[in-house]
Amino acid sequence: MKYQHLVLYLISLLFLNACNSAKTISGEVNFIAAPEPGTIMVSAGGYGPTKPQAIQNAETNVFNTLIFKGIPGSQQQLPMVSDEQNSRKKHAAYFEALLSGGYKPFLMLSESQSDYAAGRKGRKNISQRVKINVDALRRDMEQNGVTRKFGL
Amino acid sequence: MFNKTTLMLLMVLGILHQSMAQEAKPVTEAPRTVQPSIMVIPFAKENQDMRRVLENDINLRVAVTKIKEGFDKRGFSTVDFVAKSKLVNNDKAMEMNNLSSLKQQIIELSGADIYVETEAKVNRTDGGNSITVIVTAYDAFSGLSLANKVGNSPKFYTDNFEKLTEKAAEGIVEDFLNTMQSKFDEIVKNGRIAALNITFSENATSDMDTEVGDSGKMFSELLEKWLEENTFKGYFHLQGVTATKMIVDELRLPFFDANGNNYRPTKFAAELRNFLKKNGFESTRDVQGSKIFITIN
Repeated sequence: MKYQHLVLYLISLLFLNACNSAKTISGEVNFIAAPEPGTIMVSAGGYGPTKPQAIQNAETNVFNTLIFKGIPGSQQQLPMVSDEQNSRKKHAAYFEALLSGGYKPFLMLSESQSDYAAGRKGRKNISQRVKINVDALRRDMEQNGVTRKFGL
Repeated sequence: MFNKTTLMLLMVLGILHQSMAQEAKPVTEAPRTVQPSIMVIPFAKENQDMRRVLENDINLRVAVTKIKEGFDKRGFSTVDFVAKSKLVNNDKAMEMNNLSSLKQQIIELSGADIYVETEAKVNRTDGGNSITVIVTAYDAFSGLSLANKVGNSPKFYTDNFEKLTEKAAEGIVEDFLNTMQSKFDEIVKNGRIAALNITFSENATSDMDTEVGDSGKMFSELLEKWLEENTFKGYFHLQGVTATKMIVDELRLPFFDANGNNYRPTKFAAELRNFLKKNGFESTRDVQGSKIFITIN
């Protein structure tokens, strides 16, 4: 009996772990506006087995896109780091901390624009409107040696 | 009892050690940055006095100030154009009354490594008024364009062009600075651009074809070998060699020397002179920004 419980427990763990892989980074980040200098407002899609996880996924997508890809149509067209692969390796601890929730101090607003519901492919997702303090994020990255300060 | 006390002591020590280890954790050092000096100047047509243009155009003054603000926000102080132009004004340079060269004189006297030309243009239409702001950053020595942006304000039925200028400038300044920074990153990665010109004085007894030492190699070959070894990643472009001249129109220099100090074109010129001296060539050098002129006597 105890053995069966253990197997059930392990299966549940595996299932939860599989759900966690819904942290897939997507490029569903679109520029809305720059309400004040030094800020950016975007809409982002996020996926996840629960609503909070989907919201977090959307927010993480925004930071991933802003830092590593750039957001077309905005003043942040260029990525904040010039070499994504090297930077991810070199500053793995910083990005791990930032993208797993450490981004909250730079988040000025995060509100749902849609219901948490299944999309065309059956995966549950949500659309978030997110506003970021880009100036503060840049300063933080500079202070932590992730990016160079302005200049040569 | 003894065991309990020892255990507690060990636990306390463990916690203390952990907290000390955390305190001692090295803080990631920010990459070292050498700041170039930057001056924001107004755009002026040929034969126009830049200072007069700026004084007579409030929109241009707003645009220049907004761009300067952008630099300030990134922790960067710019060289003030008006203050520098006053210096030039007091200088005898003005007596030349050569307005087209005034820009060059201001840039040279200011010592600015980079100058940012700013223009603000008023657009009046039936659908509303707007402002177009154009900003371009140049390397003062090589003339290399570092960043260019054009920004338009939204159209409004207003004559408050200062506000429109603010909107137009704010809409591009971040992107403009990001583009400049990406160019800076590229320069740091690939080296500083410089140019080298080696010539012979009229009294020189040797030329580029002179054989040096016992190797039978010509002087020009020796120079090429030295350039391969002393330019950044061996990068240099030889525009041409004649018996009396060698022109290297582009070569790359590292930003820091082996000791981590700034490596300037003057240092490169000094090293080249030492090399020439070792091989029996006396020379003089002239360094203007990133252009190096060596004359062999």
